[in-house]
Amino acid sequence: VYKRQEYGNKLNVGQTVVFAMSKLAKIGDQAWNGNTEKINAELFILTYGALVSQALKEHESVADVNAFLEQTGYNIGLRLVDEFLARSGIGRCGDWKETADVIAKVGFKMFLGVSAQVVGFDSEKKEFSLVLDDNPLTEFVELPDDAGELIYCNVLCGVLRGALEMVQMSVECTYVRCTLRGDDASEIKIVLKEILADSIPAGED
Amino acid sequence: MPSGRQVAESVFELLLVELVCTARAQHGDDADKAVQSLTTLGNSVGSRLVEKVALDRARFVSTLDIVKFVCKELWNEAFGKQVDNLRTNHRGVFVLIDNKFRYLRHISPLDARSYAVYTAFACGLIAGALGALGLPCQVTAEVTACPATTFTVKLEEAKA
Repeated sequence: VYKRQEYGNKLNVGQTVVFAMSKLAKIGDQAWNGNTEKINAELFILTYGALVSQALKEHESVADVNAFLEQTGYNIGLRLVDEFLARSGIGRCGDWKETADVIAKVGFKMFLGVSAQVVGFDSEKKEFSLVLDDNPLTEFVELPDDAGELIYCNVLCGVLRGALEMVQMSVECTYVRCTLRGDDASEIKIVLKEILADSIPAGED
Repeated sequence: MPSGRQVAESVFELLLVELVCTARAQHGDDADKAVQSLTTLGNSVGSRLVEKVALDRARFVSTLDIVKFVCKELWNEAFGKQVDNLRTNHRGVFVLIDNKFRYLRHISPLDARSYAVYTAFACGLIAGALGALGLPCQVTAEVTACPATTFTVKLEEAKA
C-alpha cells in the first residue's frame, strides 16, 4: 500500500507517480533477491557494535564519537555508491523527490534488506526524512546509561552524505529519531545543500 | 539471538575496510598497535558470535571437538565457508588453512608482512570464539599465496 499523502498536496500526482514508487520497490526487491551476496546480519551488527564501543573508549567526548561514526559512514558511502549504481541499474535521478524514493526503496533494500519510508518531503526547503521501522543496526542493542548524546546509528548519516556527494549532491543528514532512545522509529533527515558541478570539461556534453 | 536477518555482504566488507583504515590512521607508523586494535575488536565480535552459532549444540566432548566446531560452523558464519585443512601437533597448537580466505578476496597481492592488518580482525575473532568456548589462545595468520591463509592457534594451556 503506497500512501499518497507522502507526496503532499502540492505535487500534481497521478497514477504515474504511484507506479514509479512500486517500480522502485520492485527494483529494490529484485536487486536484494537477485544479485546481492548476503550474509547473516549478526556479524555485521556485532562488528558495528564493537566499533562503537571501541570509539567510546578512545574518544574524549560523545560528540567526538558521533563525528567519528559519521566520518566512518562517509568513507563507506563514497565506496558504496559504485556498487549501488552497478547493481540497481538506476541512472541519474530526475529530481530531488526521485532521489528520496530511490534511497528509501532501492538503496536501503539492497544493502540492509529493509525499505525506508519517505516522509515530510518539502520541495522548497529541499528536504525529506527517511523513516525506518526496522533498523538492522540496532538489533539487540541497548545503550548504556552513560551514553549521553550518543547517536549510535550516525554511520548511516555519513553513508548517505558520502554516497550522495559522489553523485554530485551535497547534503546534510541528521539522525532525528532513534528507537534506541525510546522513539517508535528511526528517522534521518536529509537536506540538500547544493548540487555540485559535474567535473566535465567545457565543450563536452 | 538468531534472527534470520541478512544484510548485503558488501556492507560488512566495506565496514571492515574502514576499520582497517581507521586503525592505521589512528596508529600511524605503529603497525603493531593497529593490529592489536583490530584484534581486540575481533575478540569482542568472536566471543559474541560464537554464542549464537553454538546455541543449540550438544556439549563439546574434547578440545579437538571445539576446534573442529570453529573450523566448520563458526567459520561458515564468519567467513562463508569451512576451513580446508586442519592439523595439530596434539600439544596445543592447531594449524587451520583456508585456501580462499573471504576477507582477502578484494585485496590485491601485497608484501607478505603487510597482510597482518587485514587478517588481524579475523585472528581476534577466532581467538575470541575459542576463548568463549573455554580455550583461551593466541591466533596469528600468515598469507602464503593470497587469498590462501594459514591460521595458527596456540592454546594457552597445552592440552591434548
